Amino acid sequence: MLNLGAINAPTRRSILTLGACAALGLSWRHMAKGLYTPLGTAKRVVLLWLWGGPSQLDTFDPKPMAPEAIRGPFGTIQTRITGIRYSELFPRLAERNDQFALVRSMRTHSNDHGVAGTIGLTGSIGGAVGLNGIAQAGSTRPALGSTVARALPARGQLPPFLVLGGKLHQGKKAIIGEGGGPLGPAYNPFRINYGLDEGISLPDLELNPALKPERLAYRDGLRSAIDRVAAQADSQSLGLDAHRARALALLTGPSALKAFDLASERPQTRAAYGHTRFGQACLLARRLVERDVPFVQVNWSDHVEAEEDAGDGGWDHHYRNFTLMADRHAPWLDRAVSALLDDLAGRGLLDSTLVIAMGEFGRAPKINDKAGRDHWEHCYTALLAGGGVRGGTVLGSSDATASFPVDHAATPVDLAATVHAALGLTSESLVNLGIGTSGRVMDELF
Amino acid sequence: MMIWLLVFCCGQESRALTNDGAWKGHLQWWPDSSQLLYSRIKTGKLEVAVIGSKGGESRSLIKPYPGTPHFDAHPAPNGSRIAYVHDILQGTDGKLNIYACKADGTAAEPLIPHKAFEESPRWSPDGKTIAWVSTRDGNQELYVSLPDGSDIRRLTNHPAPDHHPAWSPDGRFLAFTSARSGTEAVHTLEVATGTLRKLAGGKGLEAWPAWSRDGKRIAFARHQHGSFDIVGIRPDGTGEHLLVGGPDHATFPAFSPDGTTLACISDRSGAPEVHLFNLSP
Repeated sequence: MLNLGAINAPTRRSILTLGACAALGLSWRHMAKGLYTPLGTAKRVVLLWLWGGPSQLDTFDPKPMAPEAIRGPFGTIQTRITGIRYSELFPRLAERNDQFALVRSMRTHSNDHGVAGTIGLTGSIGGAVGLNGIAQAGSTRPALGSTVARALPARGQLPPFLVLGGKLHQGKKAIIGEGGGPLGPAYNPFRINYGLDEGISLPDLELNPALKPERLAYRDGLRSAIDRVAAQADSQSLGLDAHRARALALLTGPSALKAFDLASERPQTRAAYGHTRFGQACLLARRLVERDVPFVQVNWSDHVEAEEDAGDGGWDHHYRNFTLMADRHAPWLDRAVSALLDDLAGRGLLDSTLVIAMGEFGRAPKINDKAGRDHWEHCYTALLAGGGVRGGTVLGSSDATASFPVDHAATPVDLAATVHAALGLTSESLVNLGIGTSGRVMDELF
Repeated sequence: MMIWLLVFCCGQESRALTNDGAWKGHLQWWPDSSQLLYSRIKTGKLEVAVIGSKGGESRSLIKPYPGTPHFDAHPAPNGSRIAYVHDILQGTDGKLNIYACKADGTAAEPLIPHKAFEESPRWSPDGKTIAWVSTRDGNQELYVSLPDGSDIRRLTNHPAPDHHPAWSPDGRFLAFTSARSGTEAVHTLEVATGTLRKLAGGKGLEAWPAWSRDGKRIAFARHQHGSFDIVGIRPDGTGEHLLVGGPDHATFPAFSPDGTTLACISDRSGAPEVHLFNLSP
């Protein structure tokens, strides 16, 4: 089994080792791989999951000197950081890249969405299932959001791990790794759906047969549905386990209802995020951050293919990559992430909120015969902001065609370790919670 | 700064035809200027929609609803048929096909024999030819055929993508965009001779050219100053001028056949909507 991020129960040996190192005055960062100290100032995380895998060349790692069949049709623009250029499709982020860092040397270990998605979300290939339907060896590890929820229990009126968007799919198969895994269902995310036309809905409410088949749009449908749930004081009658009953109670409380009320935002603010499903979900994420939810994950789409959600899908641009990027995906991402960073900074929340934007892999440097780019697991880019991350940092570099990292190669498990460090979670505390990791903290980002 | 607060289209304010906040694109006028076709993402579905040029309710075009994405429609000059792109999903992938339907959206059927990824169908002004884009020879190139899909002829041949075709009113030229000079730029192609002319370029990504009714002006979207603007230029490459500018995106320009109006998709009202600008005589 390829073990990218072991989640191990604490062993007597590991605890003794930690203790011995502490006694010797060694910092965890200097210890064996996987042991680290807190670095950042983050108290919570927003993960923007760009499902399908954006092209590194057409976003934040352009190669204007590469051959025509690789560089693509987009020009590049200067950013706020001298010498760093982006695709011309990202002018807003180019103006703000002193606020965030890039890791241009990410790589993973599969070019299958299902497998790479599991690796990206859990830091381990264990239990991943690809297109061939065969499960990888090993048990499924908890999602990054679940580990954070385990380590940072709910502090406010809302559950600690919320996912905005539907379940991630490859084809008709839901991918493995969005839940608590060995930590148990108590650390599964609570999911909130948002659609421009449908508004906000809570799929878990819809699981209650008594509430089907009505749509639970915010204000009218949701309000009435919640009233009906509240009227049934005995959660057993709803068929919910204790965790979900508690989460439901939190989500149906006054604080949550206020958090979900996007209509209370100024029109200018809503417009700044863009009137897209992703943009408004990012705005909702900011509202959840304000309420101190430890981990909010925003799924760009349910499906990987741009067309698979019948037009509103992900970044898997095997065809029409450049048209889709110019017309839709790039402007939507540029606007939403810029607005989120501005909004968090303006409210004094960016230093305490780690924002990550990434997909499960990158896209092939060579343009295919369908004006698209195919999967590429060997090199991609991740964006990190806030939480103590030094803005303007570009960690790692890729080769002349963005095919492979040249230095500072990093994997999703390294990113998970970095998230833990940014949150101030020590190896010791994680091991004690049964959440070990073998990743390398990218301390150059802080 | 003031320059960005003005709309440059003849100094006129725009009128928004739609107000639903959905993504929109591929704007085309009906031949008698009575309505417009456009693509939109409505409740997560990419589809062709129709709206009257005086306003009113928009509606889905294709009947019955095909259940898979369809977009980028273009009406025949006599209004009898509409060509569009139908994305047929196969597994986790899709296949772009060029279909056609009656003006009322019924009787959809394949128009161009499917061979690769085919899109952007555009009827010639005399209705005797259709231009379209295909990857059948390795990358996006321009092709023409008869309206029944026969007599296919390749027009361009370059490693860079050639796409977004638009016929001149006299049917002699196609404007299109190509990255053959490094970045996406508007070009014209004289169909009979194959003569190419690069009109602009080098100032930002250019896309979706459209000819004015009198053939004296080509409008296109250019990504500049942080957003897409609508730029006008003469077919000989001179006289470049800003038609619709500002901090918000303005894309997919379309001149009305009666010559009175420029339509585009603009998010100047906060979300991408169909906007109309009066053209002064």
